[in-house]
Amino acid sequence: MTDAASDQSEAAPDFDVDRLVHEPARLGILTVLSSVRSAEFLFLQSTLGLSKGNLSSHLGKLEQGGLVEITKKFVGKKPQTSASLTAAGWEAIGRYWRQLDQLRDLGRPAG
Amino acid sequence: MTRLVCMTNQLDKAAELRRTAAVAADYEVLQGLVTATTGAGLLVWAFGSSTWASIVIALGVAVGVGYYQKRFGKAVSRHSAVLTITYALVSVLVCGTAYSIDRTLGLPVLLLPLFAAAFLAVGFRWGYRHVGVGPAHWAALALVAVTTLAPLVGLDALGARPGLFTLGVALVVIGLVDHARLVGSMKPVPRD
Repeated sequence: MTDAASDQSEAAPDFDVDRLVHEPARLGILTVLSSVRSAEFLFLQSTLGLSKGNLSSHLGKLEQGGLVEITKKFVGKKPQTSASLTAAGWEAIGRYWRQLDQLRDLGRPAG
Repeated sequence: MTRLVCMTNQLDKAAELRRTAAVAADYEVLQGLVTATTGAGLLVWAFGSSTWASIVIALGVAVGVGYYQKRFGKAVSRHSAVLTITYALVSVLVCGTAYSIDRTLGLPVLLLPLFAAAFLAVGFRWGYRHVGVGPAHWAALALVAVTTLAPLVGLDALGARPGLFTLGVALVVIGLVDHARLVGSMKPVPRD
């Protein structure tokens, strides 16, 4: 690779968006989880306004993708589901927000 | 043009999502009914009964924490638990000692509101680092700080009570504002 080509590839912003993260509900789940250590199912529903089925389906996809770890336990007779980010989840959501910031910076007037 | 509108919408949504994440990050401090009932307990104390004050505070904390868990669920904060407990213990110890000094020595200034204002300022900086501190919080803190001078403006006959009273009022105000901020940022959960 020539020096010029190498410089160009370093300067080019990374806009190869991860589709698993880009979907609004999943982006919301990952962003909220990145601000806490772990959160219960109801907390995610309340912060994001998602229905049970919708949240459950998106959490399943994120778990399959290795971005989220789901823990299920019983408190008395009540099942309690909580979720937290995995290392890959941290990496993915960090990268997505960096990409979005880069995109926003592109829209700003130069100088 | 359509693409520009889409992008603007996306950035608006991103900003809203960041606000939601900030509320989630400071969820524990925003559980204002706990703070407000602690303030109510201090008001009860200011008017006489430390036993009833303790009961009000203990019940308020238990009911408040239970209410938020039942309504919005539980989230484990990234704030260090050790730091939170240390802050609570040190502030109770220092403010308790200051209150004892105010009651026994009758100094020209009240120490309880002085130290309480300092601990509130530290707590604001640390506890609300994602959602930010509102004007009502600063006003409540200023009210507590000014009470330090109560004996100098002729309120010395009231002894140490003005300190407890204004701290109680400040915590009730802060608690109600936090509760409103939290409830206002949570979304209604749709049924399947």
